Amino acid sequence: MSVVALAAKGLTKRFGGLIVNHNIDLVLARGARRALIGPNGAGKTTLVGLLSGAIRANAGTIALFGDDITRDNPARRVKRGLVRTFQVSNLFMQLSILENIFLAVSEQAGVTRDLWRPTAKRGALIECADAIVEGLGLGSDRHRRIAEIAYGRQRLVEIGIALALQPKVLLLDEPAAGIPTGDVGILLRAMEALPPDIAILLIEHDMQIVRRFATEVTVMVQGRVLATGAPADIMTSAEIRSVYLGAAGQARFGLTADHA
Amino acid sequence: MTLPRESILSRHRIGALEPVWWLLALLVYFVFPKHLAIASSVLIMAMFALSFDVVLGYAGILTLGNAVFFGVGAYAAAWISIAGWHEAITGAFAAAVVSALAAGALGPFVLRLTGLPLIMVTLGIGVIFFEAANKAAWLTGGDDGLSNIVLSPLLGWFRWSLSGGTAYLYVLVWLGLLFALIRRVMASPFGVALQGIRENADRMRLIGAPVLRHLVVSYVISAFVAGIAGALWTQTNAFVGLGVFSLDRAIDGLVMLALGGVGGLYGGLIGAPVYMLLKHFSQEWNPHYWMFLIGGLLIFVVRLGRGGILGVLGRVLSQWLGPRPVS
Amino acid sequence: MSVVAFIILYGVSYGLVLCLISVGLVVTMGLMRVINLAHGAFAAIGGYIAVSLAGHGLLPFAAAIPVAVIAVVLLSIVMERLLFVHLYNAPELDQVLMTIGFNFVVVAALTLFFGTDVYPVRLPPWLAGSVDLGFRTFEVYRVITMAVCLAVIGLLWLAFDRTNLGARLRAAVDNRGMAQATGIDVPRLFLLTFAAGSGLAAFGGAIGAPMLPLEPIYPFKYLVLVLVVVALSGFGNVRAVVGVSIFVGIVDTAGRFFLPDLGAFIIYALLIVLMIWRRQGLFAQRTVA
Repeated sequence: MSVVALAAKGLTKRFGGLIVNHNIDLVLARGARRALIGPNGAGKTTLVGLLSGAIRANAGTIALFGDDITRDNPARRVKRGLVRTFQVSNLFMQLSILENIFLAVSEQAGVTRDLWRPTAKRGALIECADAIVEGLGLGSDRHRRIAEIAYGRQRLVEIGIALALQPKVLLLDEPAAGIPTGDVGILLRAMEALPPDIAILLIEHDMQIVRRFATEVTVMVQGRVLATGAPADIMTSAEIRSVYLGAAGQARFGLTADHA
Repeated sequence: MTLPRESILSRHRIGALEPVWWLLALLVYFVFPKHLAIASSVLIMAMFALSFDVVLGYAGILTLGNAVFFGVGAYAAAWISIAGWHEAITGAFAAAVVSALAAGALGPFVLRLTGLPLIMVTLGIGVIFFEAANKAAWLTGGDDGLSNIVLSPLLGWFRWSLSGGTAYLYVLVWLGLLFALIRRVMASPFGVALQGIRENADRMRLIGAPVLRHLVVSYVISAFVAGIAGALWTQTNAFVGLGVFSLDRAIDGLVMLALGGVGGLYGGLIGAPVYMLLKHFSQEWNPHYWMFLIGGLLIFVVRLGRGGILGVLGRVLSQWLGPRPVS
Repeated sequence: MSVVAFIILYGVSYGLVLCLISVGLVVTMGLMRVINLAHGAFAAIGGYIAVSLAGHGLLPFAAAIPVAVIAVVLLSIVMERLLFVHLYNAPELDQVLMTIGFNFVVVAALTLFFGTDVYPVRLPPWLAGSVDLGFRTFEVYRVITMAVCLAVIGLLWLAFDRTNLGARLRAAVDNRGMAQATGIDVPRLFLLTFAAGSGLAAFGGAIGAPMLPLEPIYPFKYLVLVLVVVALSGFGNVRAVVGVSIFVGIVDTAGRFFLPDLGAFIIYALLIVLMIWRRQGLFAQRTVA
């Protein structure tokens, strides 16, 4: 019997006359590894925005481990354990990797009320931040400023910040976006090393990553959930492929689709 | 692990050259006994600029309104003395508390803004306080100001000499104490969070940081320091007038800080003497050339790039002292 | 009744001059996103040039104004290339400091050339005197000023709304990156806009000299008022500027008339409340990222 980490019911979002998310139901159990795929314009990013609190839904509810968070702002949701990473890096560019992660660690630990003790004396917290940095393979750059490191490594820092916040539910928004194919392996290893009891929702276009990482896949099309199932089933389903590739595309690409 | 010297996590470290400034400040007492009055006002201005550094250099709040807290502290100190409480130290402290309370009241509203709206609102608040002080002449003495300010000997022992010697040391000690305090606070996890807010306030929110609360705390601390500066102004001049609320003073503080370098805490302490000396000498030369000079200097400092005098010194020194640890 | 008429007429004429001075800043701030505290300096320079040319009998007032405008436009082009161009991507503190520094230099120069007192304006005889509007007499100068301002603003509106240049400007204000991607020469647009905005400010400073007295600290003195108009209009929102300026003009005039003790108070208090309540300006447009 699995614990439900995140339950969204009937989420709807309208922009003027355009319904971008229509009556979306999404349930993530603890430890879930769910990928959210769909053609561009399907409404995936909007859904993540609704879940993270950046956008307010027109209808529907969201519950985190049974507690209703529909009215909570993003900061509150973070404090409750619902964390999101960003498709476009939103880091502290002039600060070092270690400092970036430390900001998240110290906020999570609640020590920012301390106006007195020098930060450098907080060895445990700094070690904790450093452990995350090491765990992502960023140790050699730990004191370098974000603005000076490769983009692929910046995406890893995004994940590092998310980890530092000790999430119970993690929304990964296209973590591989912009990473050269050669570096994807590092990202995958980092993702696989994520604590097993975190429920993770991954938006991705790269089917390689989806296949290796996800145990379930949800397909969204035109603002609705089309199907949810195991990756193998979803990816061989004729219906899904026609949605992505169209009939002509299917004929061209045959049975396997590496990229959606 | 050893943290690099520039890391925001190691702000508590005392630089090797720091004692030099304090030594020089102490030397002034012995070397320029005839100029201690102006020296005191330089120190007070340095304190005022320091208050700017807290909000601007650390929290990234661009405000033109700290003169308000300077003025509130100044008048509060006057009222305290006129009301009969002649003890200087506690008087100054109490006056600064009034400033801090004002900041606590204004902060939660004003600090929701950034950029131009924030500048405008802080400018507007400054103007309102000025006009209010002007109109409430029964309270502030209006144009004439308040002048029957009497202080009992410091710590019951040191008399306030006409030459201003006691006053100078009094101000210097306050400056030292406040500086040490601020340094401590900026090195704490709270100070680190503030700098995070300066770098990317949005992301701090998304990390769950109570951004507005942190900003208000920094604003209150800054107001306290500005309030002490104002109180000391009144105490050392035995007078307070409308000038404490003027826009000039706010701009002065900002300029001094920018000249010296923002964010290093010593920026104000270096910028203030440089600014005041320049002002003094150029006004002797020709009162109008002062504005040319300060305008040109501002443009030059901005064009020169990061860091003001401290920044330039830092670059020069690192040539001399060798490269700093990797940052 | 005639008191209300007085306040409205005075407020509107005052507001329209403010509008001319501010509209340039509204556009440049919307376009360049620079905190430019030095805009008033161009208004001051324009005013001084026009009034001194006319005052020394070198040119009739009506001719002195265009000459002053042209002079300021040229000056602003030089200044833009030399100084302001460096502010476009600079941190806000730098923008504030440099434009304040520019103001100081201008104030010093004005003091040097014209002295510290208010520079007297001698209106030509056809502008002096009053006209009877039926319910109240009103200064000829104010009536003409209102007409001229309205004409200029009308032309501006047309240019902004109907011309190609205006369209490009609106595009660049809305979404600079996208505009650049479609081939709009943004740096040149910046320069043109800056020059035009400064020219308009100069026009306002010149024609408004009797209402906004010329003294060396002019750039600082009217800074807050101009910023009030800009902030309440919302950056880049040219359509709102006329309404907001008239609003500010009337409120300011009414405040000074009914509550002379509080005077400037009202407008600043109002500003603060409005800014905190509606920080995108009174008429917020939906902006693209």
